[in-house]
Amino acid sequence: MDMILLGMEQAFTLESLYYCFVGVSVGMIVGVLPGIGSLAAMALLLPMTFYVGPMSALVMLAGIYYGSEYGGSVASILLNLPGSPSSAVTAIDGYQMARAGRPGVALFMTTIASFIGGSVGILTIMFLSGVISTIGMAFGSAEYFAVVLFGLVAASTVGNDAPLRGLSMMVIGMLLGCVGLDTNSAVARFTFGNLDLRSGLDMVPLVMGLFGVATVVMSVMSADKVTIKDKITIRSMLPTAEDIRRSIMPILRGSISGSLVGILPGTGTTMASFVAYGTEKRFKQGNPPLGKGAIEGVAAPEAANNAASQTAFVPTLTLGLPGSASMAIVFGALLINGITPGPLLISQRPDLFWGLIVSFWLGNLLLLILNIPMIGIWVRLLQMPYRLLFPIIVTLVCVGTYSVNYNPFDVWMALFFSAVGVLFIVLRFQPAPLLLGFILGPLAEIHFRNTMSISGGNFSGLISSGISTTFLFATVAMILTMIYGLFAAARSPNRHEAEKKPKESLHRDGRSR
Amino acid sequence: MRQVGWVSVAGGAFILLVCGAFFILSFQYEMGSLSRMRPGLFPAILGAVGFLVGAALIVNGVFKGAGEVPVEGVPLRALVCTLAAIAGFAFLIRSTGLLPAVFVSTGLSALSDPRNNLLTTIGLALAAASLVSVIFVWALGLPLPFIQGVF
Repeated sequence: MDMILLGMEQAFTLESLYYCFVGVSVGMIVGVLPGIGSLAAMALLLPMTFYVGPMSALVMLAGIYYGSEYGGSVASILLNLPGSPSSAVTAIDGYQMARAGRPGVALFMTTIASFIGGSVGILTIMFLSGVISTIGMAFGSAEYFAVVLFGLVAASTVGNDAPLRGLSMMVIGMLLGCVGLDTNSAVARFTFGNLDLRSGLDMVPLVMGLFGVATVVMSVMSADKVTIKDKITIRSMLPTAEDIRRSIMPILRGSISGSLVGILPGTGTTMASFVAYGTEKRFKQGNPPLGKGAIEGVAAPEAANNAASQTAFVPTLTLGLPGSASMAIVFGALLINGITPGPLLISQRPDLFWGLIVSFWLGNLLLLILNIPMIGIWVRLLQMPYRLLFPIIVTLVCVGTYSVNYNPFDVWMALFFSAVGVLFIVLRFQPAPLLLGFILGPLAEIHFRNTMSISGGNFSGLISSGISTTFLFATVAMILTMIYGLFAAARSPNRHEAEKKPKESLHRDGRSR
Repeated sequence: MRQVGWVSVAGGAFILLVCGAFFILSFQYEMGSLSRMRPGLFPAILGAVGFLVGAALIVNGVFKGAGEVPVEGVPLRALVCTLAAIAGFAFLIRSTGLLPAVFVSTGLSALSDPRNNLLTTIGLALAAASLVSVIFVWALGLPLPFIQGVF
């Protein structure tokens, strides 16, 4: 309990409140706008975090992350065009509700569902953190290596249609992480005599180019010719008693499943929303049924993705294991500020940890309050043509990248990674595992080297304890499952259908089929 | 002729080449032994693993490539304009200062969409310049000269 008070002390400072507000507002806006996601926004604001200190940086980045889960559903419901990938599921029933003349109710319920989901997620964190940090004390190099490897492979292969691609991205990311001075021997690796590369590839240009510019360039054609018809008034947003009754269980179910899914590395808010939707399908359905404008189809996924966005912080902060690209950015921001996330974080910096948790509460509350009157503004914002927004984003990327080291070389690197990023999208490679590999690769190397050195070159050193054995075993199991899946005949048709549906239900210009 | 998934093959080839290159390059550094790892060992391992994964991807594309969705269209004009915009910024920022660099980057990337005429582009450039000044120079207090040598 006193931990919460400690957290409140941190979170209620003017500075933290300010950055919380900035973060959730940016997150909301970014979530609403199609074509630019929370990842790109976090990447764009990453340079800013260098100047503001770890608490404010964390609060702001986190605000963007869970804030975007609130906004993402707006475009889904109004335009059948998901503002963020995790809102793709919301579009299925949400847009139907809008067409049936009830967009306001859908929007209102998603806000409520998001708040409840987020709250459940926060409670989960508070409950679990104590448990995990005790376990974390037992971590030595062998354990770290096993867990890092597990996280990397899980993030690259689990729930992935193309695990081989994910794995290859992970390896490339780890190789990129080797560029620069080797920590052990101070030998400059893969620098080709370039002085700027001696300190290694900078995370900012990599993230900006690969995630920011590449996705934004590819969206230039699609996110454009859409119009919104009706006006949304406050009165039109209020749900009926029936709506509320039907939403209670889906929200609860979605919150719980989302909280659990969010903790696992490799699964993110998108998977959480799909899982929640799929779960709802198994229950007796009302009228209209799921897929035709059922409020359950809006409430459950929205609760789930918000819950997942909160619990995603658990492995990052308590184990030092970022489970997704967004978490990798949070992880990177902490490292830059000289803080090492991991089991010792809670005991060494309880102010930071609990301050962040309390700010989650605040942020969710802020979003709840802000969202309701903002709906009208979102509608107007979404009508701004993408072709106007796009050049501003590019310029912001340039200035942001340059502002880190005042070195044009970083901007050239961003250029390089933008081109590479587009290549990856074309070849259907997901960039997220690359970022994880880039950030965690050096850690994996250090721990591997230590373990081998301690065991005298003997591989049995890796399975020296229960924890390391378990995780290594799980990693091997995942790889074997993947290999088996490669040889197996056909992929499961159901999952393919469920994943394809939202995308294929839209023409490129947003009309629905 | 069997349907080959060219996207997978191309992707796999890319991975194979890049990882293979890293593998070969890592030999110029000392390898050491497992118990005393030197800089070259870990990248070599990674390169080898990556090479295999790339090969697996190629094989996957050849044998199970039927039904693969072909490469999606790249908005070439947008890509070229954007890359040019970033390059322009990189060239100019040190020598000419913030404003010219921002003008160039916004202007060039605005060219991505043919519907942006000259007036729109200038408007955007001005908007970008003000936005950047407010966020980076005023709010964050970064020492970025507006025009090099002038102010």
